[in-house]
Amino acid sequence: MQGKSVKRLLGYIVMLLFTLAVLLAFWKLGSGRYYLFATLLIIGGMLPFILGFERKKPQAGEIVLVSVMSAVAVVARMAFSFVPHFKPMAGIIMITGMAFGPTAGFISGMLSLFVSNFTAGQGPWTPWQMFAFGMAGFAAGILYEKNIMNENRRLVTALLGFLIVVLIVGPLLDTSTFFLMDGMLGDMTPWAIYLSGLSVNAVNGAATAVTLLFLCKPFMERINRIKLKYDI
Amino acid sequence: MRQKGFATYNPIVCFVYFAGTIVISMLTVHPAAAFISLVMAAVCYINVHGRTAFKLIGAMLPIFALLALANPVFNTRGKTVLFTYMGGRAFTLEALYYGIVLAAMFISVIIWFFVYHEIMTADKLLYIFGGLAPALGLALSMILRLVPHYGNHMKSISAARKAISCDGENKTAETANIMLAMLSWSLEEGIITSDSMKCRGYGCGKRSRFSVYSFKAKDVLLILWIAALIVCIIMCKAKKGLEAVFLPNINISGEENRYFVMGLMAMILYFATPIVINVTEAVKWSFLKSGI
Amino acid sequence: MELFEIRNLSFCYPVREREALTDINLTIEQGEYITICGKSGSGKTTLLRHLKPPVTPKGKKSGQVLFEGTPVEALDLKTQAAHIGYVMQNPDNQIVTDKVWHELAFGLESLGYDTRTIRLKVAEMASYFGIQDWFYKNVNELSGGQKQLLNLASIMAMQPKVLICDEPTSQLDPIAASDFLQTIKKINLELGTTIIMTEHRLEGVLHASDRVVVMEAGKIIACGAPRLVGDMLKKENSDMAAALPAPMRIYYGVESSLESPLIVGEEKSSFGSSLAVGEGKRRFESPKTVEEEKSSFECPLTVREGRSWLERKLKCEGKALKKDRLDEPDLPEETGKPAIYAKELWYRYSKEGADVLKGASISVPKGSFYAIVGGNGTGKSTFLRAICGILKPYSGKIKIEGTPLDKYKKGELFQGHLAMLPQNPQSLFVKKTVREELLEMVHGSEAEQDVDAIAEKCLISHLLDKHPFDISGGEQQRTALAKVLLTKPSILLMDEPTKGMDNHFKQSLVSILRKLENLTILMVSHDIEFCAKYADIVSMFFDGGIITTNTARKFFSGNSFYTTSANRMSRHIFVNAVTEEDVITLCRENL
Repeated sequence: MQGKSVKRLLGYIVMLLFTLAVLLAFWKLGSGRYYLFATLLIIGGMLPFILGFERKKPQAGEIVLVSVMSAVAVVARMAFSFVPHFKPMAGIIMITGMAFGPTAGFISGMLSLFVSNFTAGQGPWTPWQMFAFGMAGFAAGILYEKNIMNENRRLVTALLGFLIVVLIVGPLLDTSTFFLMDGMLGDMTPWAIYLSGLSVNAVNGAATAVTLLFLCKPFMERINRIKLKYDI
Repeated sequence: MRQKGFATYNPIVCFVYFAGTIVISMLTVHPAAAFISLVMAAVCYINVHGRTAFKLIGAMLPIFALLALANPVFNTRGKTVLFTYMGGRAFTLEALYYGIVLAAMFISVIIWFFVYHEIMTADKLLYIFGGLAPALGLALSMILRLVPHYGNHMKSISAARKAISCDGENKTAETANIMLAMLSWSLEEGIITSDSMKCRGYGCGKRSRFSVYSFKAKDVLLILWIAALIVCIIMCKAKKGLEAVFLPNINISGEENRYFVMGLMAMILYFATPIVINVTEAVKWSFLKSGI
Repeated sequence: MELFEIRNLSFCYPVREREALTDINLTIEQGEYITICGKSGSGKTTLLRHLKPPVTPKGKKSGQVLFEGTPVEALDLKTQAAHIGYVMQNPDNQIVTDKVWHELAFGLESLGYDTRTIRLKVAEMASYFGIQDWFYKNVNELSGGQKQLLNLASIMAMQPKVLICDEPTSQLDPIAASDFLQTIKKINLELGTTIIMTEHRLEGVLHASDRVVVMEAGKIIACGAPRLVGDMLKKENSDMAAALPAPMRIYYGVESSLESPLIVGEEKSSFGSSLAVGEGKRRFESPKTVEEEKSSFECPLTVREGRSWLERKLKCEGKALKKDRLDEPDLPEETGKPAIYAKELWYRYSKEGADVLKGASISVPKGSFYAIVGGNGTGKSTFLRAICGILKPYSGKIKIEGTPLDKYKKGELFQGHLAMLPQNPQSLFVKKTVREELLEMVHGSEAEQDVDAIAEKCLISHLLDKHPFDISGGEQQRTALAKVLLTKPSILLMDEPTKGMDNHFKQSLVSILRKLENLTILMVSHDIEFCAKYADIVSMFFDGGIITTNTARKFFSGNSFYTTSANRMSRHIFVNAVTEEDVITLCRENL
């Protein structure tokens, strides 16, 4: 993907977050209805990525490998379900972003969550989760292109994975909870929700960091081998 | 899987219906509306899911109670104080009432999602979104195939490793090893899939789209019906027929307001649509069956 | 009309010295059925891939491949997709989407047909291939045979002029394989579609083929009608002769032992084969004498022809048979502790599910090579997994080397006692090189020596530094076997060890197994010929249990359908000839 379109996408995201913040600021104006607007915004936020992916007319190889990685992420979630609080999905999505670029990372995150929710339960939170995990793949993809995240810098990569979950994925999901619970918990400020979500996000972030620490390098090696062998 | 009744309508129609259902349920803060949405969602879920639906609906009860009681704890506004606790913190009737209504709204949305889940199977969603985003739709279709396929891979890898005792003591490390084995295997397989796609002309020009779903007369009728009811409900809302204020005073529009009556009727009809379709079809079918 | 014309094609993969294809010249006519055979690594697949641009490998290429007069590289993408159909080996991985109907439509969608056209074509295909019953299913619910049929149907939906099949039946069980080949034949006869096929089970394809092309080390060494090619392979003593169908091998085995000239019988030859011979003659490199051609007329291709040939051959002599049976010891009385003993195993996958094992019992004597045969989905593989404790039967007793299964501590059982070679060797590969794979199994100072020793035994010493996914299927199998053998088992369980392997790989597998002393082998297999040739004891598995057990010869000579082609061909004359060698020996004694 060219730098220009990444910049444009980043612009979209900033705008989106700004609008969300404005919504948050005015949340007191009423109850029950902000969730819908916010959700529509989030769905709108996914569009540029989807359009980007479609416009690029992905080759058979790309589309298959993105699907393979998404399916692996979904299966990994099920496989590790016996370890309490350990969710490797975000980590694997980030690896996808690193290996196949920001847009593919976003698409993979989005689709993994969508498919995974067929067993975990679809709900009003689905679009938010799709967007949040898509962002994780996207962020990792950009950081990889800037050579900040890298399979050879395991600690930095793991730390950044942790930060992406705690600063991006977690807060986005908390915002969804906030809008959904809006009014039900009385005069609660968004900050209370963010604070209470912090511990869960930290645990998920740690799981992601562990995933990246141990799986990032071997995953990247395997993916790079395939890319090299079949010239993708 | 054989589907019947409402589920046989065109997925787009079904999707529009559910989108409408959820928007209406979320936007109408009114005790009567919330109650109707909740009851209809439950009935509908029992209708499409069968007996085991009771279990899930039962599981919603404690959540309902928790959410209903949470509001007055956090929210002390309201005129009628039921009791005070913790040195004078008030527990008010209005807040409790409001909590119950919000909880009913929330739970009804969740149950509507259960119904949605039952009817909007993956391939229907694929039909809707595959049209808008073909590459994404194709990827989704592949993932849906690959997830169970990889599940089988994991099982056979795990068994194979166990049978030569290289599975080790640490289950987490072993699962990671299995994941790695699966990844290598899956990537190689993916290359064959992409060859197969190219062999069948993927990427040789504009793709068309085939689907087993089509728009029939009954779909058009249903969408007109849905549209009419939605317009009616929006109008009644605009005329303040479905308004309710709880704090600090309870002020709810009631039967004295004719827009309330109209709006409520429209909502009942809207929410009951799938059940009516399913039941009519079942009756019709049992009648036809007696003639076989 | 010429469909394909291959002119002086040579090809070399990057960073490899030996050419994969050397100076290939071949013309393929419209409507022909051509079988290409050769050992693994002889360049069959590479040749096929040059006929279909999207899968043509990259490398140094010279020469030309013309499709209807146009070089294939210059073909328009759509034309190439629609006119040249390509079916690959693995039924699973060729499938793209999750629904049967969507898969059928995939190619047509790529070509941009409108919905109405696609609906009609898909309906046509579903009816022609008998898919309508599973039209709405998820592809994951299909059996391997159904999946491969779906792959074929989804390619035929585009109405290709030529169908290229690269070992399409190698991953299927024999019944699904013969169904598939029947369908291919039907397509060739009814639609006139040209078929170009590679196969290692020549049994099912040779009699349908107009021409056979034999490849060795990247060259075409023979090309012509099946009988001519058989003759030639025999004359040149090529080891490809081992891949010929049993009737042909028996024929050559018997004829070559006779000094007297052949007696040429009157045989009606079908239109197809006489045409094929004519064609073959035109292209055959060295012209044949009339006599030789006559002899090749007599060679039987199928069991039916084989039966009448055998009858003529032996009854012509005009006397009763001197010997019509081979000596065969009875099933030995059981002495000592059996290596594996299982009694009344009952198993089901889920509480509400149906029983898969229904009182299955077995007793495997120490040091024997024991084979279990039976149809697909009868529970054979489940039985194998239950025996080694990976699945837990809800009722029944299992003893391994006299000790009950549950008396073994965790890990003890699979360390030196029992080991299983899985059906898919890929399921054992985690590392980057074959050497690392093997080192994963051994610890201590002698690890390297152990690995080198086992690699030599399993004939993979030259592959140690390669990536396990960069080597061929048979080599992967041997690597997996080496890995399994590093646990130094006294009992080896094998699940379909010959799946997808050609005769040469099977022989090398057997030679490896024979090098191991005191090893008890229990194998589950579809491969009747393999079991008949090498197993000591054979059991039939049906409906969740073993229903009969006998020595291999008695077992197969007692069956009339589920038996080797050699037996089916000779059972009206000989009592218990099971393998080709049996038939040849008995024939010689009677002539």
